[in-house]
Amino acid sequence: MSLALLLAAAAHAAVQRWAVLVGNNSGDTGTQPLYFAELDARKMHRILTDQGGISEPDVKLVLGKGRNEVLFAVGAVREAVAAAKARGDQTVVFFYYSGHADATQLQLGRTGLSWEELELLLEKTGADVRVALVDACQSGTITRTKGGTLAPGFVFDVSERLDASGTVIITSSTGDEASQESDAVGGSYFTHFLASALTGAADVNRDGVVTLSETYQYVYHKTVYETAGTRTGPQHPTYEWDLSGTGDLVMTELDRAGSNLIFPAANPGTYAVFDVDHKLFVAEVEVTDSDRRLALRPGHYLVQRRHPTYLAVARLTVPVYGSLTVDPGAFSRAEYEEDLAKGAIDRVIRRARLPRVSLRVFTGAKSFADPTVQAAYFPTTAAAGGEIRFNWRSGQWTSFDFQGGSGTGALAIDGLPYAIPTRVSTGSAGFGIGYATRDAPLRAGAGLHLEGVYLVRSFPGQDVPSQSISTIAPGLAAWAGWYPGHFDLELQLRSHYLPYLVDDRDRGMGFNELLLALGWRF
Amino acid sequence: MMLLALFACGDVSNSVFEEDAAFVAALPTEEHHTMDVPGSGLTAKAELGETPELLAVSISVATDVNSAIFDILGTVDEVRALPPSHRTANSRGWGPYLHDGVDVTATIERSGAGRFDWVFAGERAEEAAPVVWGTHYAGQTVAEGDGEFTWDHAAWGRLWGQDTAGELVVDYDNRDGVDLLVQLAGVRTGGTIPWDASYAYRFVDEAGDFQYLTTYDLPDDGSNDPAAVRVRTRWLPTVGGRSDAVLTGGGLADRTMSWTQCWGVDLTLSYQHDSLGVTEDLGDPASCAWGDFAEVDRL
Repeated sequence: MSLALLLAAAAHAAVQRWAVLVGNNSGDTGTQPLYFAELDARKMHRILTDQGGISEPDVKLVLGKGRNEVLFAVGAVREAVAAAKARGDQTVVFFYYSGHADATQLQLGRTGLSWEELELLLEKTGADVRVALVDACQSGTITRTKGGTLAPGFVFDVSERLDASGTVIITSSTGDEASQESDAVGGSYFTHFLASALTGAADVNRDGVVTLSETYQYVYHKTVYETAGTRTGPQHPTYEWDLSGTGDLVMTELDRAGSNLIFPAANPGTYAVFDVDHKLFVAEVEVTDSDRRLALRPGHYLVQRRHPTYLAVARLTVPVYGSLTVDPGAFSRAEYEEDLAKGAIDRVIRRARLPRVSLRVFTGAKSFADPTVQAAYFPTTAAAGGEIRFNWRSGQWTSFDFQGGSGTGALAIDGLPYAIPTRVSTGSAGFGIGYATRDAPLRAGAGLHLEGVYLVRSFPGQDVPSQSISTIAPGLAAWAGWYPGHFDLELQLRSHYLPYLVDDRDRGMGFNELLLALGWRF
Repeated sequence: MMLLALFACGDVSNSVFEEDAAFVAALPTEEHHTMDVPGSGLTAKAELGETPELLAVSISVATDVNSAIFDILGTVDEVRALPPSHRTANSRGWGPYLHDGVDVTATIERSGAGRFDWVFAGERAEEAAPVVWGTHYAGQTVAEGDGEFTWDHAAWGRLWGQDTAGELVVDYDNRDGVDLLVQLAGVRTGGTIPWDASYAYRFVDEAGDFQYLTTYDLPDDGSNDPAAVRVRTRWLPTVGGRSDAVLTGGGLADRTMSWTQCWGVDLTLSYQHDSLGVTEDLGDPASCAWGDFAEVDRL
């Protein structure tokens, strides 16, 4: 055991920890959804429950939810903290966020949580130590407003008890930088190195625990280094330190996981560890002059060492409550195209790129535009049906719909003093494609719509057989509506040209559909 | 669009209903089969500025003839207002439908180049007979054609339980205006004297010509017997008109009297003259729409 105090160790049960882990791939209007934010939060959940000394019930994992759910989770932690303090326990609360943000707030989907609110929320938990790890664009805003500056590293005295109290905030970037995701690591750079650090890569003094300062130093250097060559440019993590007292904070304890993967110093290099069972990179470790240890769950892993033209890959099984030393002989050569880890990450990306699907039912009317056609051929009919629509990240939408309907009317024929009673029944199936405005509570779209139409008209009381048309009608579609959440209410207008000559004359057989739709977005 | 049109198929058409309209157009109408002599309900008075007697008589006669034709048109219009109850490519049929206790059926058959034969028949108890029938030849349009129709007044009475007799025949030509030749043969209702008469009516190019035979009791002719009168009334709606009558018999004995009355667009007498001086000469002959005396020439 090193000088660091293992705040979460069982021997120090009087120190209680909680965590609120928030991930949201969706941001406010105009932002492109992220691929890995929610996955990164899951990754942090795994590490903090495995090595961070936080029991499962004490972790609040909030994925893809909005402001209210976050406030509710923090509120639950606040109550638990109050109860623990009443018992005389010391308390630590971690808050992790991965998602969109701007200079004013965290973007939780269409809802927001301002930086000031976040600080206040942390303070109101009443915990002795509050640690916020924010992986978001412009997240440095929160530290800058408090006067925080870039720091290449910092060292705290450590003690055998929790002397410190206050708030520590670490952000993934400065107030004017973007925080980047990487397809190569299957997550954001910041969280990737944060996870690596907490798994053991940051245990520079080999004492078996990873402290807050070790974590920051590791994450800072690795993030800046890895992002320096990106098109977006280097990303600088920042910190805000507002602790009274002395001491460093233990983030994880490597022995707590029970299973370890040992990288011997005899094989120096940088290794990436991919959890085959859970399809994610769990750590990246650099081995130089001494053995390095990563705390991992038992399971199957791929350990990769990257060479310029190929990968060296070892398939390893980490035992339950045991250590496995990485044997150089276990590595075999693999081409980059055969990279199973990349394949798994690509699948995550593909899933994230899938369109947002919505289903809706609608009702309305189908009416021919030409009054002559309406009066003499097809009276307006009621229409009802359903639609499935795919809204792509690019703003494009495609839809498939079907509908049926019927109506009655009386045909007015030139020269006849009476009207012919008529019943019209319709059935159709359509395909639409177009572009929509940005995702927002009020939204509209327009595009092309192709409809296969079947129209039947019969003449009750007349000795005239039913007549029908079946054809494909090209047209335009437009919709606008209110999309407050999963439910939506939409008005749709479709106009089609029906290529059919009636009685050898062009009757202007265009028809319109005006529909009111109620939808559900997944 | 052409490609899409290839995917279109169907049999939607209103031709069957437009054909209904064509068949119905072969039936007589008020517009084409009644007489429209200018003025109505006028009281005649042989003074300048008053309604001429011959015009008033012409109006009255036309109204009487029209009333007979309206009886026919009433039956026809009843069918015209209903969709056919059965259809074939060259026929339409209605009924039977109940009309004042009589089952009426109507049939229109088309043959040749626009020939329509139609008949309205009634059936009641043991009595079944055609009542009105006709043949119509289509012109430029079906409605603008010519033909004739007959009303069996006796059959009408038998079916509807009335004491009637006689027959009314109308020859018509609607291709260029309205031209009617109406003949009544023994038409009688109840105890009235059988009515035998002929009437010729033409309204073409905004000029009307109505010819008929009637009787008229000339005042101050020394007799209560009416004279036989052949009347020809012509008019131009925007100018005025002229009636020429030839009277024989009655108080005239073996004399023949030619009597002319002219009127203006306001339908008041502008000129009067007769060959025997029975009536007072009035007005200026230059006020007449026509200068010549025209006798009845179609009856």
